[in-house]
Amino acid sequence: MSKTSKRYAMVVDLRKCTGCHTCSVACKAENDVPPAVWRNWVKIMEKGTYPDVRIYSLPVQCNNCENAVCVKVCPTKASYKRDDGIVMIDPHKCVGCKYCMAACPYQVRYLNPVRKYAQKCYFCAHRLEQGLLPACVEACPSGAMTFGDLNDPASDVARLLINNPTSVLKPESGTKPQVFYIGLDKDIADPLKGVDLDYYIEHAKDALEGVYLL
Amino acid sequence: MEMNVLYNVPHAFALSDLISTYFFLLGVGGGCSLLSIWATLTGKTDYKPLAKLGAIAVVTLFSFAPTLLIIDLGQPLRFWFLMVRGNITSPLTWGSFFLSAYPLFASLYIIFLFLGKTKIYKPLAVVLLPIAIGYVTYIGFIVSMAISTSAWNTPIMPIYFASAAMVSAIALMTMVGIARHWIMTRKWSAEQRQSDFNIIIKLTRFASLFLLLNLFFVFTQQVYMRFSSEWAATAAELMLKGKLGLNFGVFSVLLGTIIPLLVVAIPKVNKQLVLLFITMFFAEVGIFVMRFAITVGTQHMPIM
Repeated sequence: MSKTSKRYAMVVDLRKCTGCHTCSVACKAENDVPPAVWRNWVKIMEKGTYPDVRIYSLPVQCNNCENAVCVKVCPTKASYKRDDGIVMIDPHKCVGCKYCMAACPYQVRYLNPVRKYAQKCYFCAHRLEQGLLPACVEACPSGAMTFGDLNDPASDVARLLINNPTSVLKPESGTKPQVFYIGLDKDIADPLKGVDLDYYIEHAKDALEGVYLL
Repeated sequence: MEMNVLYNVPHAFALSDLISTYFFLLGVGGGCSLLSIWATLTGKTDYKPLAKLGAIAVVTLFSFAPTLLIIDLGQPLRFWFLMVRGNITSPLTWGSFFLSAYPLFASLYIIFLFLGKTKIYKPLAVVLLPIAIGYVTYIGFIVSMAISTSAWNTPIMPIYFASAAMVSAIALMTMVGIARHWIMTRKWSAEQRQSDFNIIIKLTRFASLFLLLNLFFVFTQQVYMRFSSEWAATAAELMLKGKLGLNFGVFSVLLGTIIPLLVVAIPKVNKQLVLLFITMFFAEVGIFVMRFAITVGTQHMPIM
C-alpha cells in the first residue's frame, strides 16, 4: 500500500463507552441487518466482588484485519481487501459456504438468513463514499468511537493511537486488526472469562436456534 | 475475582451436521479408492476382488457425498463458482480441483479395472493416487486453516483426517467383505473360501495399523492443545468430558479405536468373523462420531 493512500481504522475508547448499544442499533438500522444476526454488538461483563463491582463493555465488530484470514480462505474471492484496508464481500460472488465464518477468530461474520450470503461490518463504506462517518461512530452518544485515516497524521485516529496505549482483540491470531481499543480489560477480551462453560456448551447451539426461531 | 458476562451474542455454527457427514462420506470414498489403488499397484491377484470392491464403494459414495456440500451452501445454485473462481490460498479451491479431477480419473480407472485392461488401469491408478491423497487430506486442511477454533487449528489435522479416512474405508470394505464371504462363498471350494477369508484377515490387520495411527493422533492433538494456550487446553478438555466427551472419548476413541485394536490384536478372537464385523462397525461409527465431534462439537466453545 502506498503512503499516500488511505488506511482506515477505528479507535474505541472504552473509558468512554457506557455499553448503551446505540452503535448496534444504528448499525442494524443503517445496514438492514436482520434479526438474530449482528454486525456489531456490545459484550458486557461485570467484574469484582460487592461492593467493588464494575461493569465493563466491549463493542465488537469486524476488525477489517490487515492480514485478513477470511480473505485468504474465501474460495471464490468474494471476500477481498480494498486499498484503503476495508475488507469487503461481493454478494454476487459469495456462494454462502460459511468458510469465512469458520475461519474468523472474532465471530463477526454471519450468513444473512434472508439473502443467504456472508455479511459483516465494512466500516459503512457506502457512507464513507458520501463523506460521512460509519453509522456506529456517528450514533455513539459518548464519543467513544473514532474513525479515520491512519495514514493522515492529523486525523483523530492517528492522534489517539500516538497519544494512548492501545490493544487489539486476539493479537495472537496474527490478523493485525484495524480496530484498536483504549483501556481494554484483558478479561472481557477473553472468551473464557465470566462464562459458565458447562452451561454455555450445553446451550450454545440451542440458544442460537432459539433466536433464529424468533 | 468474580466475573460474569451479562450480555454477549451467540455465534453461528459455520460447519453443520451436513458438512461433518460430507467429510465422513468423502473420507470413506477416498479411502476406498486408495485401498483399491494399493490393491492394484501391489499386483497380487488375491487382492483383485478387493480392488473391485473398493471401486464399487467409490462410485456409490461419490454419487451422493458432494450433494451434501451443495445443499449446505447458502447459494446452492452458485456451486459452480467454486470450480471457476479459484483462490489458491483457500483449501476449498484445492478441494474443488480434487472434486473435479477425482471422478474423472476414478471413473476411467474403474471402467478399465472392470474391463480387465491391466495396461490402462495400472497407469491410471498411478495418476489417481496423488489425486485420491489430496481428496482425503484437503478436508483436514479446511479445518486446520480455520483459526477460529483451537481444536481445528492444529497441524496434525490433514494427516489425522487422512488416517481416519483409511480406517473408515477399511472398516467398510471389511464389513462388505465379510457379508460377501457369508453370502457368496457357500458354493466355493474350501481353498477359495480360505483365500477369501485370508483377505478379510489381512484387511483387519491393515485397519489396526491405521487405528493405531489414529490413537497416536488423538494423543498428539490432546498434548498439543493442552500445552499451546489456555483456550486450546479448555477445548482439549471439552473433547473428553460432558456430551462431547461421551461422543468423542467413548464412542470414537474407546469403542471405535481401542476396542477394535484389542480385538484385532488378540489371537483366535481376531479370526471370528462375527466379532470382526461388529468391531469394524464400531470403528466405522467411531470415525463418523470423530468427524462430528471435531467439526460440529468443538464449535460449542465460546469465541468472543
